[in-house]
Amino acid sequence: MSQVKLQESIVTSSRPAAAGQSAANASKKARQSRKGFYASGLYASRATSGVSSRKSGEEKGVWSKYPRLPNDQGGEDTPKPLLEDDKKVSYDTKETMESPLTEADLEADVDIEISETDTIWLLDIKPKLVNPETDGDLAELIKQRNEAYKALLADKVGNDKYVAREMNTLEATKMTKPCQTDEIGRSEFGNTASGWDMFDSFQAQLEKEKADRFEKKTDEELAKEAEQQQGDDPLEDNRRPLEPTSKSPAFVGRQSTTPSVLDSEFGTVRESVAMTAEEQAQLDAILTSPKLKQTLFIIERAVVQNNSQNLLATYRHLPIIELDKTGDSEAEASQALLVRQKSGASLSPHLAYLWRYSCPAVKGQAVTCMVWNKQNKDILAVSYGKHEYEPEMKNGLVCCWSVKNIQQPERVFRTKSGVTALSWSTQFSYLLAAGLFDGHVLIFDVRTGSQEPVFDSYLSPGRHFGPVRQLEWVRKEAGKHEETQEVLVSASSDGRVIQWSIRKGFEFKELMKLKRVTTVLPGPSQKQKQQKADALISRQASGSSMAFNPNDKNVYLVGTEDGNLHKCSCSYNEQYLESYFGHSSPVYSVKWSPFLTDVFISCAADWTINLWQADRTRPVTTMGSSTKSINSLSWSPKSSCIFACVNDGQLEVWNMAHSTLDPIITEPTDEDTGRYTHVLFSDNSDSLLVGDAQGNVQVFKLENMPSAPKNQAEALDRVIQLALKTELNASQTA
Amino acid sequence: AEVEETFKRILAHKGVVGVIIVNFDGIPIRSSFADSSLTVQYCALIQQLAHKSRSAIRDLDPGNDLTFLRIRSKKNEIMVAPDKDYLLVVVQEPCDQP
Repeated sequence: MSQVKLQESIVTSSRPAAAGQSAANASKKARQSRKGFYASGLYASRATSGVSSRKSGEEKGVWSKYPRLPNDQGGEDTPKPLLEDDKKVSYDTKETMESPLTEADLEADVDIEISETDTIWLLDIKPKLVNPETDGDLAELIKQRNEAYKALLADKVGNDKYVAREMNTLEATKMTKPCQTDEIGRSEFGNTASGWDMFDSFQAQLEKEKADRFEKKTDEELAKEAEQQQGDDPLEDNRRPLEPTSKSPAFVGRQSTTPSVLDSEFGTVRESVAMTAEEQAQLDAILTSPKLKQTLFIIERAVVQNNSQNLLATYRHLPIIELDKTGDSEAEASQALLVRQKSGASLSPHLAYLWRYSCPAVKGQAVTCMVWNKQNKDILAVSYGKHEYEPEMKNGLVCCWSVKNIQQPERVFRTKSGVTALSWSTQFSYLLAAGLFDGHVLIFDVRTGSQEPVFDSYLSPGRHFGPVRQLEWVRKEAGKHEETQEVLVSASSDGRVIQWSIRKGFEFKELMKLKRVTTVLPGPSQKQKQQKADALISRQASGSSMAFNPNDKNVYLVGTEDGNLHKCSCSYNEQYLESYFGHSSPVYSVKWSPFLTDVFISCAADWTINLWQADRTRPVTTMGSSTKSINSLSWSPKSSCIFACVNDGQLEVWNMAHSTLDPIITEPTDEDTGRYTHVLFSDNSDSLLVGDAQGNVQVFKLENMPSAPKNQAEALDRVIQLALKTELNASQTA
Repeated sequence: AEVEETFKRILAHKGVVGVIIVNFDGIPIRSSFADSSLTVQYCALIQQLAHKSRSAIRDLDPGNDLTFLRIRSKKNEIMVAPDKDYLLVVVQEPCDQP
């Protein structure tokens, strides 16, 4: 091992030339010896060549690197580094390599030899040798001195003269040496986790735990769930709080970078870059998802409501807001409404036309029945078909309209033949029963909107053979072991009243067979009398209307095509409880009063409306104003003395407290609306709906109506008493 | 098909200026605007606004979520129905006739 003595390399400033030479010699020697050696530190195998190419410190002019300290003698006093440059380990491997590293080199095995470093001599004072023969005096002197020194050393121990004392060495002058490393790469990352981010991730975790806890699940189901979760994952990126994706809430609104070319007025967006199959599938998934349908549905409602803001406000008894209009068109209807609202025009009750429910699908079909949903008073079911027989049977329709969308029906159900009766269930507010002209009874579930009825009576042996004229859902008091269930009762022209129950399948039970009863003159009512003079076609009467008593669910009224009304009970299926004679033609509609429990009203094709009391077989009073058959009538839900009826030519609103001779409002029909076929009051608004033979349902608002009497029952009672008195008087005087 | 039908119906309503369906990336899938730059502008701005309002609603109560957003301005009304994977935007001008 070569020992390069430091003192050799320390060159005194006074003799640079000689020193340089000796240093050069030394370094040459060192170089030669070093070729086979690895110096201190670790060198890659390639580095040896680098070492050999190294020059010595002086030749390179190494001193220029350090701050120079020239002393006053003109020489250099710059402090030398501890290690020569040759010895230093270079961390900058680029300098040591002659050729750049290739991939292969990185893979190649590297031999590393670790060897002992060179010894660094810090102080080396050579002993001076004196020959006693040549320099005898000097030798004597030195011997004496050596002896004296020995004695001194011996004396030193324990001698008071000598005290151990510490000394501080002078502090060496320090010099800062700057060095530079490669720049440390820095990158900043930040993300915000909002409160709901955390909430979402916790929810997801909880659900996952719940799912894992279910042991009953098979592996298949678990795998399906995992798939679903994975499928959700790209969309769930929004919610993960710690993922630094561009979809996280902190990085929102990233602009689309691909330019897109749009198609025609209503077209797909064609990307200039062709979309991958995956992206296309994703798009399709969005476009066909049921959620999009639902959203479009709601938006359509919003759009229509925007347009018909004023009309709806009137319907709901809200004040009409006058908007600043930038367009020119102003609807006459809303303008008229505004004017009326402001001026409070005429004082007499009248109707204001609001809107009409009409769509191309129902054009040309007559409205046969209209019913409000029992739970949601904004939903109206309208049935379309024919009342009379026609040689070519058209298909029938049932549409569910809503106040919220006056342009488009929200549900449309098509049936094989015209629909003649409708009723909403109370227990299940989404079940709609429809009675058809061919005698069938269908029950639809409007939640799904599917065209298939939930129940139908096609296969039932008890189905009707004639058009179903009236349907009603009745809540039955149950036996001890049954819960109150709702049954559907249908009355039809074939003379039977049938009760259908939906608990198990579609069961039927015949409630009543309508038998013909001859019209009896005033006197004790008789039952089941055959008149020999008449040749009867059938002993059965055909029912044309029905109404259940709202207070007593066992009792119901049936109107027949003979003109007779019968009170029946569910408990008896052979006999009538009571018969009412007053009409001479088919009774189209019979309705109990919502305020007085034993008063009902009926209308018939004989141009009259009769008011009855349950215990009188003759009508209390008869009303009529035109020579047309009256097709339908409806009690006002707000006022006990007001009802509306429609005949072929006009709509009439009667107020019995005011007059039983004339209606208070008449609204004639025009050519394009055709004859009116059905009328219905609205429960939650002062409005009236009228259906006509062309398929339109018009909505009118009642204005300036007399306010409802404080005691409704009493008011109606008074009317009845008055009517009876006048009748008595009339009969007495006659 | 039903989606297409409803789409066309909405466009046919009075006052409707345009309808856009945007996916969650901000790329318009369907648009009825002839001007593509307008579509892209609407997409970007409305999406930001919808995200912001959804943030606000959920910060107030994490159990809540935004279902519908309506912006009424002097000249028209923008209705936004946000969803997890898409955004439906309808622009309508006011007019009284239904």
